[in-house]
Amino acid sequence: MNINVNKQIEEDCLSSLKLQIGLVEQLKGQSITVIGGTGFIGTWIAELVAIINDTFDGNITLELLGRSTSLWASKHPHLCRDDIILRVQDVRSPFSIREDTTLVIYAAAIADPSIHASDPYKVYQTNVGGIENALHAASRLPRIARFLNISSGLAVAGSTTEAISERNIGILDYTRIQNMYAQSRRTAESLACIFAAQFRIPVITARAFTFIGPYQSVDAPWAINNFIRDTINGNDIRIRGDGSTRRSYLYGSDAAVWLLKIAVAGKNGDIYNVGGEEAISHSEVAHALVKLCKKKPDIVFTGKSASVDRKYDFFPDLSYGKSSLNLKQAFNMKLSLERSMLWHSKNILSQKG
Amino acid sequence: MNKKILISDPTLRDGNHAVRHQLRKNDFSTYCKAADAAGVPMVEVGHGNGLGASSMLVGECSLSDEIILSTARENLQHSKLAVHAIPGFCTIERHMAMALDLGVDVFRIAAHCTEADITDRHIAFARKHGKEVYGVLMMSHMASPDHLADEAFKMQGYGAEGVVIMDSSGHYLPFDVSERISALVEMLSIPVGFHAHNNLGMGIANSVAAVQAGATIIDGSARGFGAGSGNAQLEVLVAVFEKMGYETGIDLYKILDAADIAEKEIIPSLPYISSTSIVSGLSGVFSGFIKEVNSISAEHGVDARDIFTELGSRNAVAGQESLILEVALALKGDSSGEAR
Amino acid sequence: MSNKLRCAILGTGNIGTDLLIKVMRSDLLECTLFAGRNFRSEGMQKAIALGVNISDKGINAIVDKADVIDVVFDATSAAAHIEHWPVIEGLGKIAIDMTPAKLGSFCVPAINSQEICGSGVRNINMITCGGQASVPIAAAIAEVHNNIEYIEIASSIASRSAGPATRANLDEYIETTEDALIKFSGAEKAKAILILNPANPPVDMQTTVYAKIKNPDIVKINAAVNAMMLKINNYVAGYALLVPPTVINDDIVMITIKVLGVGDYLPRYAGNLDIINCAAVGVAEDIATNVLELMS
Repeated sequence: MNINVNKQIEEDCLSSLKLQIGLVEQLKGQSITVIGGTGFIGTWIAELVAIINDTFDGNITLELLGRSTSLWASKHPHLCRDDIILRVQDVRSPFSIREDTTLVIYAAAIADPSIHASDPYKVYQTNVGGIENALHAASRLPRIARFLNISSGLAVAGSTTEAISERNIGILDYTRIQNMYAQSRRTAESLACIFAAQFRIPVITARAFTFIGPYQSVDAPWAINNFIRDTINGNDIRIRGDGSTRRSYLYGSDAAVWLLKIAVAGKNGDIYNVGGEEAISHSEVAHALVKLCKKKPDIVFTGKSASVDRKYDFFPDLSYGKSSLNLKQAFNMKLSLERSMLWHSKNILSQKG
Repeated sequence: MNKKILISDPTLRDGNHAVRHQLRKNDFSTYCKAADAAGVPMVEVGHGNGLGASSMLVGECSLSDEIILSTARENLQHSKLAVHAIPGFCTIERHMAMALDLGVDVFRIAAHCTEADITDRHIAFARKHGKEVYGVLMMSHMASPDHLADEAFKMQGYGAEGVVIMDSSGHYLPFDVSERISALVEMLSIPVGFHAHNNLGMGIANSVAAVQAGATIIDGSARGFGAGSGNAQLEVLVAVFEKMGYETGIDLYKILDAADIAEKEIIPSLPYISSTSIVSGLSGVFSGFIKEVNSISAEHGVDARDIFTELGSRNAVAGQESLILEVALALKGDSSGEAR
Repeated sequence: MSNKLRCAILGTGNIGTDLLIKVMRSDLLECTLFAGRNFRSEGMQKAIALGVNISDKGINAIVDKADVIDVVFDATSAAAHIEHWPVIEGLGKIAIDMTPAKLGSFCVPAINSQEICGSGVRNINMITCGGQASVPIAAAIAEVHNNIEYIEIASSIASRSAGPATRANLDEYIETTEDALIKFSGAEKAKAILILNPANPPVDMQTTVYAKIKNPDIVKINAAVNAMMLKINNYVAGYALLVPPTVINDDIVMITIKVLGVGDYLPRYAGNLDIINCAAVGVAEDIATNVLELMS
């Protein structure tokens, strides 16, 4: 892989790390297992571990469990190192975790809305069955310091225009199939509670909002990825609805750093939102992307439903994470977009070249 | 309140059903020119069952998809060129990629109303290539409003920019339409549309009910040229919507001209509600079966209306044309000794 | 006892589990390993109840147990089979591929099972369910007419018998079936259509074959089709004619077949899953017979 691309990632990791004072110290010597580790978060955590070990003598070991690891290895040869172990494991099947593990991070849930639509049962098996297996495995670890469940803000979001707080419970009509994903996240959080209470393992929850950055596929079925893909392909940016729906975006290195901070320094049983601060509409994102391109794509609004103007804004209230853990964003929206576009275009160039 | 309606015109696609897919090159160029001049936003062309559907099963097309699409493309300057595509009939590589190359602007990916999850990859393909894409649910009377909304929601999840439900058999009364459109409008954050058939004389009324329930996409064909008793009559729709205060972007006089041209030059016989199509509408059987049923009925001396009623009770779906002969033979009491 | 051909089944979904039951019933085959990725899957639970050796290590389990395996049924996915085949090949085993990966030779037992067994081919591809139903009929017609212009098959299967994997792979199904039709019938062009029928109670699998031929000899075609059906019935008991060869429009021959499943693991209406499994077991049994003959 392109050395320049790696340099960018390195810089990003260091920028994010710099804002979390003390985190490197707290991570030193830890033995981390990321379940679902070949995904977006797992890959960023691997980058962080590599940098901390190389730059700060971190002495961290990291194991990544994934359904298939060979593709990941071929995409990230610079991350195939002695301190990063890869293991094939389907989370739906019971498994064990390396005995000396101190931090377990569950990042294996299926968040892809296409799969929610086509295979809701698999989503349930993975999000609920998978975390159950992970919790069982964690409960047998003698030195576990924390089990971090990366859940989703969608577990408690509803129709809203407000920042979503960790204390939201939210009403969920669990009888509708559309709500199956949110319900699976709730059930997973419940399971984590059970294991905390009965099996006495230290559990903590992070609710993920929208992430952005290198290592996310442009084909991933989220609006911002579609916009980036449309832009790169020279097509119009197509926005469903009137473009007023708001999201916030957290850059990959920030997200990974926050999650690690939560894992080592958060309070047992607590829930922390992980997401970007600035709520920004799809329309504004599209315009920002256009500004970044030489060839200016058109922005096309494809129309919305005639229903009463329900809003599904999705962004977090970050006050708790800020006050208790001093979580800080190194990359604001503008920078996040720039860094992502830079990476995607370099990636495409290196694929073509 | 949104006062704009997007009219999609399948005269040269649904109309192909009425002529067993034998529309000629001239038909495509003539009507496309006229529709384009009238400001029709979206013109849909092809075999009645869509891209790649030319087959023994549903009828061979006189022209290849390639010729139809390139002819239409040449003759549409402002209108968008749309295709109907059913996974299971057409594939991404062999059909959709070709359509993309030929300049299709809009893909309407269709499935039977309970099988939306076959449309994932096809919708994604169109989106990936920056095209406008809609999900279409056919024979939509065969699912409850809630179930229909669930299926539409899947299509939204795959990236569809709108979902159109079809009354493929002309089975609905206005209340049925309002119920279903409302359910979709409530569930989705993308536009909802309706495609009528006129078997029970409800083409226009149903389309109006759809709009009043929140639909913003309506299909209509010139003179109603389409399968069975035809679709909602396009030029009537334009007039009615204009009277109701909606904007369609279509010039009324020019669409009347286009319909006149269609009547004169491309429609061999104007759609009407025949006795058979009343029965097929009542039994909820796909309108596109009518020609085949009539021909098999004549050949085997079995009452077409009986065939339809039996097909209805067997919940026949589009593409099951081979069932028609089976049903006819069974009704005839044909025991050739080999069918078990 | 150990004269049985030792089979591993890779993939513990519906296909794999149904295969397991058929293999266990066979006098010529035994299942020495049932391998997948998830111990908690329904198929795994069934295998545990049947006392079969199981593993959740997927292809790695095949490697570990290579010394007790002769044949691997791959019932995973096309993408996965592409990864598995080099491993299976490296171990010197035969793969019977249930996916549309098309890496190996197409096999329809009624047509070319003996030829496949004799050829030493190690990757045997079972085409698709629609292919197993229609290709033998297409081949029967081709015995009578070597100038088929066009073959088309339209299959309708119960919506309930089509899971997420089938639905996500309609294109692969179509393309693989069309390739096989052309190969076995010599037709210039082929088309395959698949329709999911949501009717309740679920409909049985039904396939209609259309062949475009100048001056079709319907008498000879009937005879050829009937002869082929006898061969098919050897390994697919529930395969039957619904509409016998009929000429429509002078130059089109139409035949409709119905396949009723045995009901081993899935309900009988899922004839589509049953036929491809029966065919796979059929060719495995032919391999076993050949081996026995060689040994004797």
